[in-house]
Amino acid sequence: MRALVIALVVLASAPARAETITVGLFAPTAPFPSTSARVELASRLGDQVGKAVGATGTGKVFARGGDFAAAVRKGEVTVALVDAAYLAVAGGNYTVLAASLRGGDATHAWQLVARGTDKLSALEGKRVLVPGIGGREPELVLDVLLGGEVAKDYFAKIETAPDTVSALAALGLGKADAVVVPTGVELPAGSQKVLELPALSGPVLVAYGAVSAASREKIAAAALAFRGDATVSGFRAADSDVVKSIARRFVVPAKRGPFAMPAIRLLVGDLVEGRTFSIERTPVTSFAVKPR
Amino acid sequence: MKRALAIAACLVALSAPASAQRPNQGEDESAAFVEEGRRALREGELDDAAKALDQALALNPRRIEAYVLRSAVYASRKEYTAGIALMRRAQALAPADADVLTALGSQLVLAGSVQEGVPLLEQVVAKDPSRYDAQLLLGHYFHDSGKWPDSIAALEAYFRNRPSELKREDARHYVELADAYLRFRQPAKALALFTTAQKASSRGGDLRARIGIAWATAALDCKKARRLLEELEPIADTFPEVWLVDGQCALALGDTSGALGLGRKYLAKMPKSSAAGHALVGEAQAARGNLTEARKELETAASLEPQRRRWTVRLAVVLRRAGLAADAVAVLDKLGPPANAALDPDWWTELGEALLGQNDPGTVVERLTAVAAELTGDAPIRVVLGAAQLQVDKPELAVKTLEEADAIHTTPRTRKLLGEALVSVGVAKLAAGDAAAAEPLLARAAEVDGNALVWRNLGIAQLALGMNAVAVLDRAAKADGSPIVLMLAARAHAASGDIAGARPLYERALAGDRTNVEIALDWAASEVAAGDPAIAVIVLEKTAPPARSPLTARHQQALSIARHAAALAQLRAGNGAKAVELLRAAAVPGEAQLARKCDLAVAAVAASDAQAALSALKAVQGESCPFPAPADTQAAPILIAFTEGLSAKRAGKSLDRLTSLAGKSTGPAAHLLGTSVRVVALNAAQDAYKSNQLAKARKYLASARAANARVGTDEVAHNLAVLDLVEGKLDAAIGQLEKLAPRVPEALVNLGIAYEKKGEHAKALDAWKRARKAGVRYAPLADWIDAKARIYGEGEP
Repeated sequence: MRALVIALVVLASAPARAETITVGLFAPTAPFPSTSARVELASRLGDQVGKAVGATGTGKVFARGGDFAAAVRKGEVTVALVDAAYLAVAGGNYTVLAASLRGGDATHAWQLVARGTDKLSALEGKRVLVPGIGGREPELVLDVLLGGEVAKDYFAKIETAPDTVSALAALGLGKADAVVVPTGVELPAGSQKVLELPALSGPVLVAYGAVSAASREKIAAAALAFRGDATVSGFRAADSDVVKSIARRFVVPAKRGPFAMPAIRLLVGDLVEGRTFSIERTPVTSFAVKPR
Repeated sequence: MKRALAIAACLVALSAPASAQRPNQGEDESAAFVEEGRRALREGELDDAAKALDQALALNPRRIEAYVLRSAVYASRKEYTAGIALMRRAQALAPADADVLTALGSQLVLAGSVQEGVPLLEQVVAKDPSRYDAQLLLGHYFHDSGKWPDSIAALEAYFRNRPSELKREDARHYVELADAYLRFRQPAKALALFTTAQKASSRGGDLRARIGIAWATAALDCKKARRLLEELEPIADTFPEVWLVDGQCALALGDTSGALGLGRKYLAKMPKSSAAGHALVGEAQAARGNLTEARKELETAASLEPQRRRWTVRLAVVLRRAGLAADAVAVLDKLGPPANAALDPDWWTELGEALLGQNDPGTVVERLTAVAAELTGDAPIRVVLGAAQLQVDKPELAVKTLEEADAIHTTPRTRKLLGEALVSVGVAKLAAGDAAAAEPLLARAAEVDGNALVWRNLGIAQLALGMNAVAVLDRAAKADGSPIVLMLAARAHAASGDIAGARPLYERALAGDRTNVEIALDWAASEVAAGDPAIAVIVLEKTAPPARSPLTARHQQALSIARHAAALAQLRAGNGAKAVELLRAAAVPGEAQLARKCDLAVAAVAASDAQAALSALKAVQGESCPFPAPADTQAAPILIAFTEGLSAKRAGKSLDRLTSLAGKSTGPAAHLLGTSVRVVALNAAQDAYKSNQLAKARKYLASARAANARVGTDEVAHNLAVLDLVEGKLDAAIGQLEKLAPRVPEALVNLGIAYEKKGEHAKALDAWKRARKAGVRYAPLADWIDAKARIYGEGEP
C-alpha cells in the first residue's frame, strides 16, 4: 500500500509530458549543398519553433511532395518550410507566416542553364531537368518561367530532379541537356546560362489549419529571429500573395488587345472652343503719380 | 592816347573816299592842300597836316572835308576844345552832314562831353548803321559805361563795316568787344575773341587779351582756368584781380580755404578799392558756413561800392542761403530793380529765389513774368520763374518757361524742374484720359530728367496707348522696385506677349506686398489673357483681400472667371474631372450661373461621371447655353442621350433616341449628334468585345461607322481590325493596324498580338515596345514585353 502511495506521488510530481511540434521541410528548389545541411536546418528551425510555442520542436525533411502532403494530412506536420511553387500547385489549408531569405532576398530569379550552347534555339527537342515541386513541373517551366513564349513541345522532355543541387549535378554529368534552377548557385563546369527567367519566391514558412492564431503569431515572431545557414539565412514577414503570384502564372491567358475609343473631349470640345475670358483690370492711368 | 590815335586813324580813313564825291569841291588850290594834309595825317606828320589843312581852309572855308581832317589832327593831339570849335563851324555850314556830325560827336565824347556827343553819334548810326567811325566811338563809350549790350552792338557794327585799311587796329577793339561779351555772360564768345585778339596783337601777346582769356576761361571752366591764372601769378602784384578771379574759381570748385586766402590776399593788396575782395571773402565765408562773417563782408562790399549792384545781389544770395529770405528780399528791394532789366538780370533772379525762399511763388510769377519776357536770352530768371509757376500749379506755363531756359543754357536744376513740370502736365493729361497728349510730354521728361517716376508715368501712357512699354517700365522697375512699379512692368511684358518675362516681376511685386489684391488681379488678368488661367487661379487663391476691402467683390469675380477659364482649359486638355472641380468652385453668389452650369454639364460628360452629367444636363435642358447655335439648346438632350448610352444596357435605346434627334439638328449640333452616335456605338462595341460577343461588337461597329461624325473614324477602323484579329484574319488585321498605328497607338498592342499569332515574335516585341513608347496604357503590356524580351530580346533565341 505504501508502495502504491509512493508510486502515485512520484507520478503526480513528475513533469507533465511536453507537446511535440514537427516542422516539415519540403523545399527542393532551395539549393542546400547536401542532405545533411537540409536536415540540420530543419532540426534548428524545429527547435526554434518548438521553443516559441512551448513545445518540443523537431524538424523533418521530406524528399517527395506526396510524402509531405500525407504527413500534413495526418497532422504529423503542422508547420513547414515549403517551396512557394509547391504551394501554388498543391494548395491546401495553410497560412503563410514568413518568407525565407537567401542572400538577403526572399525572391530569386531563375535561369535556364545548358551545356555547350547559350542559345535557346539549340535546346529545341532537348531534355530539361527541373527540381520537383510536387507536380506540374512542365507548366512551371513553360508557363510560369517562360511565360508561354515557347510551344509546349519545344523541349523533348521536362523531367524532375530531387532538388536543385541534384539537377545541376545531373547536368554536370551530362545526364541532362539543360536545367531550370534558381540563380545564385554554382554552375557545373562546361555549362552556361542561356536565359535569365523571372524571379519567384523561395521556400516559405507556413502553418497548417490546426495551429492556433496565437501560436502562428509566436511562430512567425520566432522565424523572424531565426538565424539559419547560407541557403536559408533567416525570414521576412510575408503573406499568401507570394504564393498567389506564382499560382496566377501557371495559367497563361490568351492575349487580347484593347479597343480604341476617341477621347470624349473630342465630343464636347467644339462646344467650348473659341470661348474667351477676361478679368477686369484697374485702368493703368490710375497708377500715374504726380511729382511731390 | 592810343584810343585817340585809333579814332584819328579812323577819321582819316573815313575822309579818303569822301573827298572826291563832295559836290562843293572844286579842282581849286585848296584841294591840293587837303590831299597834302591827308597824306601827312596818314603818315603821322601832324604839324605838316595841320599846316596844309589850315591853308586849305583859308583858301576855301566851305571845304567840309578839310574841317573833318583838321579835327582829326586836333583829336590826335588831344586838343579837343579846338577840335570841337572847328567842327561847330563845320556844323554851321553842313548841319546834317554825317561826317561833320561824326567828327563833332567824336571830339565831344573824347573831350568828356558825352551828354552832347553821344546823341550826335547815335543820330548818325541811326541814320546809317554802317558808319563804323561813329559805331567805334559809341562802342567804346558804352563799354566804359558798362552798357554791355549796346557796346556789343556798336562794336559788332564797327567790325562789319570798317574798311580793310583799319584791320591793323582790330586787336585793340577785339579786346573791348570780348570784354563786353564776357561781362554780358557770353564767355564762350569772349574767349574766342580774346584768343583772336592775342594772336592778332602785333606784339605777340597783349596782356589784356591774356588776362581776358583767363577770365573767360574762368567763366566757362574754373578747373582749366586755375592753371591759366597760375601762369598769371607773376603779374598778380600788378594785377591783383588775378587773385580775385582765382579766388572765385577756387570758390566755385569748392576750395573755400583757397578762396578765402586769395580774397584776403587781394584785400591786402587793394585795401582801398576792395569791394570785390570783400565780396569774395564774404562768399567764401558763406560757403564755409560762417554766415555772420559772410554777411559782414558782403555788406562792406556793398557799402564800399553802392553803385555796384552785384555786391548787394550777392549779399542777398548769402542771406537767402542762411535762411533769411525776408532779409534778402528787403536788401534787394532797398537796392531797387535796375533801370533796364538787362543791366542786372541777377537782381531779378535773386529776387525770385528769395521770394521762393519766403514760400511766395505767386509774387515771383507776378513780378518776374514780364521781366523774363524782356530778358530774352536769360536762363536763370526762367528757371526761378518756372519753379514758381510749378509751385502755383501752373505746370503748362512752367513747361514753356523752363523749355526756354533749357534751350538757352541747360543745368541739372533746369532739367529737374522741367522734368517735374512735364510730368505734372503729363499726369494731368492721363487723368483726363488723353494718353496721346501725355505720352510726348512724358517722353520729353524722360529725355531731360529721366527718373523712376518719369519712366513709370511714361510707361503708363504707352500702355494706355497700346504701345510696347517694356523698356521704359523695366527701367522704372530697376530704379524703383516698389510693388506697383513691378506690377506695371509685368503688365507691359504680358501685353507684349512675354508672359514668361512678366511672371518673375509679378512674383517680386507680390513678394513685396503679399496682401496687394490689385497686383494679384493684374497678374490673373494677364494669365487669363495669355491663356494660362490655372496660374491665375493659384495667384488669386493665394491673395485674399482683407475683410471689408473694396476689392473683395472684384477679387471674388476674378477668381470665378479664372476658375471658369481654367476649367475650360482642363476640358480641352481632356481632364473633365478637374474641369468639374473648378467649375463647382467657380460658383459665386449672384453670378450669371447659366454659362457655368452649361459648362459644368459638359465637363461632367467629359469626366465620364454619368450621374453628375445627367443631373447637370437636365438642369440646363431647355435653356440657351453659350454654345454655338443650334447646339446652345440642342446640346443638352443630345448629351443626355449620349451619357445614358454609355451604359451597356441602355446603348441600344440611346442610339435610337439619338437617331430620332437627327432630323432637328444642324451645324454644330449635328456634329455633336453624329459624334455621340459614334462614341455610344463604339462604347457598346467595346462592351460586347470584352464579353466576347464578337457578332454584337461587329454590329455596333457598323453603326459607329455609319454615324456622320468627324471624330472616331480611325477608332472604328481599328476596332474592326481587332475583331479580324480575334477571328484569325491575321493578314488583314496586320495590314489595317500597321496603317492606323501612327494615329491610333493602341493599334500597336494589337499588332504585336497579331505578329505573335503568326509566330513573328521579334516583330511582336517591337510593336509592343513602340506602343509603350507611344504612351499606350494597357495593363498586361509590361509583362508581355518582359516575357517576350527575355526570350526574343537579343534577336534570335
